[in-house]
Amino acid sequence: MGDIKVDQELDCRGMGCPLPVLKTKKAVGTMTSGQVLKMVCTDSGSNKDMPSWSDRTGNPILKREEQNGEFTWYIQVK
Amino acid sequence: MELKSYTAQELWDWAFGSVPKFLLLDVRNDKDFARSKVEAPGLWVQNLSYIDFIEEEAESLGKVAAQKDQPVRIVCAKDGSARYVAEVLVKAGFSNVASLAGGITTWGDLLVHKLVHLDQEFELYQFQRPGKGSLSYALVGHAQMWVFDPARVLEPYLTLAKSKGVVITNLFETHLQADYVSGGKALAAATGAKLWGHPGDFAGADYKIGPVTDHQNWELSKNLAVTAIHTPGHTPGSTSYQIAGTFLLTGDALLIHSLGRPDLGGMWEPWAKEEFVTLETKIKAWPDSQILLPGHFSDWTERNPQGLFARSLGEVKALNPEIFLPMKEDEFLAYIQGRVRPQPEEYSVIRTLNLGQGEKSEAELKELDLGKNQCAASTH
Repeated sequence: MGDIKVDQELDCRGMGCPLPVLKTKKAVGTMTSGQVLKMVCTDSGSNKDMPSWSDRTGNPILKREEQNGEFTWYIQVK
Repeated sequence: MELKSYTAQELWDWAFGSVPKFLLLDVRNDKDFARSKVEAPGLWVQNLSYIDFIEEEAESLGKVAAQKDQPVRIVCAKDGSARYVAEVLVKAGFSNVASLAGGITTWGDLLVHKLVHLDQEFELYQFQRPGKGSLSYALVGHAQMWVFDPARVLEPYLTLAKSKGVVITNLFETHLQADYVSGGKALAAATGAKLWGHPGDFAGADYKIGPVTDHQNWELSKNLAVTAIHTPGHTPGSTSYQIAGTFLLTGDALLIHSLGRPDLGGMWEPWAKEEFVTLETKIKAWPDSQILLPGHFSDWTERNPQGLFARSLGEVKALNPEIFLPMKEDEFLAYIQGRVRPQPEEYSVIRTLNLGQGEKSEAELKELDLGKNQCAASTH
């Protein structure tokens, strides 16, 4: 799998639950099917909540990265 | 408007008091809910993820089990999502809504102590940890306090010692715990108390812990002693401590329902054989009048009418006929084998931490230390 083409970025660093999920939902709502959102956050709760949100809404997570306490999520809009 | 919050202690008081019925609404995802939900007798609990409220607010509001005039107490991992859902409920017209300050880990770390025994020589307290189903104990007398199986959060022990005007001088581990992070090492460091544990479990510990031997005695006064009884099986070093010839702090060697599962170490058969010998030669010889004070409970029904996890050996024998009826080794092994089951993945991490190895941040420890124990030999 090559580099993922990112259409929009969202910075949720420093934000606690529920903001990363809430802002991801809002961002995805402005995007079109097939586009990719890159969301970065520092809330470790996102490790359970982002997959849970993805299952709930059907927007697949293409990739997750973790580095220096930052979690990066690549989400494709369904 | 300002949102109301509540504490874990208040939740305990409501859950065990005679307050009007309230709904405890847990807004974490279903996996976290399954792993560490709040349990109390008769508690009305519902799991409805905050993600559902974000995605389908109206539909989720319709699923809330409480009427708008009934109290709703919300809980989440920290506090943010609970406050988010609380706002949604208040806007929808719910009149009595509050969120748990600090989130589920404050419930997980809550310790509540109750008096077991009081006489001229000593007081004995049971510390109940409702979020874990674990029990620790404090023996107070002659200006000293001795603590058995201290939990990770030390304040409750330090506060009791301070209020009694006594000094914590000895700490005892019944065994190497797998389900919770022990406070033994930290409490020893905070107080200067001497820490004790059986080498069968603690020989590899990276901190100072006195080696306990079978029949070892510690005298609090000339009339009051604690005696070690090596009761291996749940773990090789499992030790029961008998206080004043009457109270048996067994760790998990014997529980009110069942006994400690011998499969947590990954070799159930040799440990179960040891457990059988302990059961036949030691536990079954304990007189009916002795009082069992176990290290864990699985269910609130194990409490006695005084709210204590304490039962006479006679009662325990009646509650566990399958263990106390005459049995051959192969029958016991078959009983245990039928109860071998997977253990939570964090148990190996917790065992390592309890030997003083590895480092975790306080936030990681709180998370790791959540969830009800799975220490009893049982089918679920």
